Amino acid sequence: MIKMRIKIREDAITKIQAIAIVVVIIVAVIGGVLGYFYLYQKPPEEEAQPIKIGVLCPLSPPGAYGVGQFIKRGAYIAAKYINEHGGVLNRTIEIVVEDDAGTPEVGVSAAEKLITKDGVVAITGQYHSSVCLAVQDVCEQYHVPLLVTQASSVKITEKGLNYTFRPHVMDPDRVKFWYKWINERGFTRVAMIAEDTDYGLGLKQYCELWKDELAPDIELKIIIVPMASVDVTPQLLEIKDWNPDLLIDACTGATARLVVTQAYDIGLTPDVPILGAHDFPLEPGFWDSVGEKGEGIYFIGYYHPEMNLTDFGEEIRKMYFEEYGEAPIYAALNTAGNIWIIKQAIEQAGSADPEAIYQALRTGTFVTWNTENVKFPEEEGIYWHHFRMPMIIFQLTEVGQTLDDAKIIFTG
Amino acid sequence: MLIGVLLILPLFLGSYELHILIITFYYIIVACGWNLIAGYSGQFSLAHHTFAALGGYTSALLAVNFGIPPLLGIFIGGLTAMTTSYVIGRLCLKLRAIYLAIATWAFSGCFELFIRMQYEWTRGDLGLPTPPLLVSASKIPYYYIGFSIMLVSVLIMYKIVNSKVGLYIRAIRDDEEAAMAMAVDTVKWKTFTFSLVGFFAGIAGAFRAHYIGLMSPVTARFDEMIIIILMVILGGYGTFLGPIIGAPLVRVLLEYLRVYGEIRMILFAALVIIISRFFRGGLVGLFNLLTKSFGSLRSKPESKKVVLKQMD
Repeated sequence: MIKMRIKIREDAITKIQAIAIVVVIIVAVIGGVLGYFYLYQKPPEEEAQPIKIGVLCPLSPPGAYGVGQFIKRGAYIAAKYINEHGGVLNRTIEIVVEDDAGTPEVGVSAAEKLITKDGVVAITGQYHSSVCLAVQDVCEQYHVPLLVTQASSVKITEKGLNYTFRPHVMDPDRVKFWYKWINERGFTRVAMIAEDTDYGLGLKQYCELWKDELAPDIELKIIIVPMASVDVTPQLLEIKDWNPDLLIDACTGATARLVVTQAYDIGLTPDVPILGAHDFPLEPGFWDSVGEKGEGIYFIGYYHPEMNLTDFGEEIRKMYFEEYGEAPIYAALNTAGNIWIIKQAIEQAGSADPEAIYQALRTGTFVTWNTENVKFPEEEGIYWHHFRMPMIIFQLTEVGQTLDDAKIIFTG
Repeated sequence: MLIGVLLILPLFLGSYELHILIITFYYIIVACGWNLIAGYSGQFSLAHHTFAALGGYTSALLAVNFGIPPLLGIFIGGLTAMTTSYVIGRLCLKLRAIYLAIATWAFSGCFELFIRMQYEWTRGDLGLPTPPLLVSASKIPYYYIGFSIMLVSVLIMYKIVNSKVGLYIRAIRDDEEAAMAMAVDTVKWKTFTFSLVGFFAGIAGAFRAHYIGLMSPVTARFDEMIIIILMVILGGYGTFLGPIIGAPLVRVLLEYLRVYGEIRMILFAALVIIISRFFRGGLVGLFNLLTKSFGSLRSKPESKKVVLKQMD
């Protein structure tokens, strides 16, 4: 009987591996060809080139990507408005968006790219203070103006960097404002639950710092919780035992809503009212998450449909609604306002050169979405290049209410 | 030759590209370190990024609170990470398989939480501003410093891999009981390797802190560990060149795909699945496979065929 021994080379490529290799090579070749044509297009004539403005915001975790989407929308709407009204210096505005992912190192990379590769004349959109603190150094190095959208740490302006401008509310502004309301309403035992982020920690710091000066008659209790907590019942029970007459919710996103629902579940609310430190009750999905447990909530906002906005603000509000089917929130409006300020700075400077824009920003007066007197004073300390936005305290009293239905409680 | 190219590269690149490369040097160090303990000695630790963050925070806090010069702070950061990894190693390296991964994962989670909650002195999520390493705003000096740190770290790890220590740790990976039976002090060499790569990770983390200018708890998130694992697996798990190839590739892809947000992580996950399924040796394994196969195609075509041999 003949025995056969079959020998096959052990290192031969299998059929599937060969197919995979061919696919990868084809994709690489196509990618390379497309990349070549994309990278080496002949640049258009100077006058026809759009003016690029960078929008650097969180669009992926661990950043607050939900807010980032609104920031992006606000920028696009503002650019659309400007371009439909003749652009600026006979040129259109082009928005270049980059994701900082809520991470300082990624923000620095993105800022480097926006400035050195995309050639933006200014940057806006910053939301996370820790990212902004890193990005502003890059802008300072390259002499490119940075207009902060919603990062509220005092250190951002306290550093006194020339090229950083902030038309937004800072933690101390917010604290001063709510201490006024607390005094007016006669609250005496104020509890606050704050997350361990730049937002919550900043509010805690100024609450404690200014209590004796602004609200000497109140007692204050502050508890810090981890960001993205899934259960704050222990902390709320501790607060309940303390018998507050007001609870300030200084958390964001899902944690902010969790505080609302769990405070109701343990019987803290509705007897003890909640004040949201920002306008999270207006975010999509709020009523779906909290239902009737959120009725009666107070919150700090910056915008109301009945407010007199500037002409620009009114137009933006209309365009935003037409485009997205919902009213704009502050993040979108403030970003749009920043794009509009940059446009005015370019006009006042007569140039799209970043240095010229910077000079115009430090000396000029501008119109934004809600006010016509925006200036960036060169005051020492935390108010360097800072414009204080007006604030309002609202209340929502029924499930499903939107900003249009919110009652204005306090305007300071 | 590659080193020569890297030495003159800053003359031809802009600051954005230099920035990417500087961060890539950081990842090469941590990826090579993790490959040494996981790929070569089989210790699947999930706390490697934590040692880098620990080095960064140590150096930053020393600079901010005591005025310690950054260069000295970087070295102390490395020592602190090494000491911590030694302690963690002594506690955890006796655990096997998934238990080591869980224990180190728990340590890294606790560290991140600790940094966030101790905000009075770490500034938590506000970020801890860190003095720059150099007065110069130019990236070129940072490039050469990062390159030097990377080169020294990689050379030391290369020497270890190709020494008797490398034999010991591979023996531990392949069969720890057999290695013990052959009089290899497994605890000693596992702990040694763990501590050494902890030192390099601490140095790298401290350098990054003084380059970026800010330390934040984001550097201690588990996402960072996933990126390191990705770099090693894509490049070639258990091969020396694997992380050196994988780190720049993943770093550049992360940058290029940033515009797609979180979808990029889905793409990476798909890539890891494909690589793990079809090319277990990663890109290094694929390259070896291609060179062997094409080499044999040129020399002995008949050897590719099935050979039937008549046996008597």
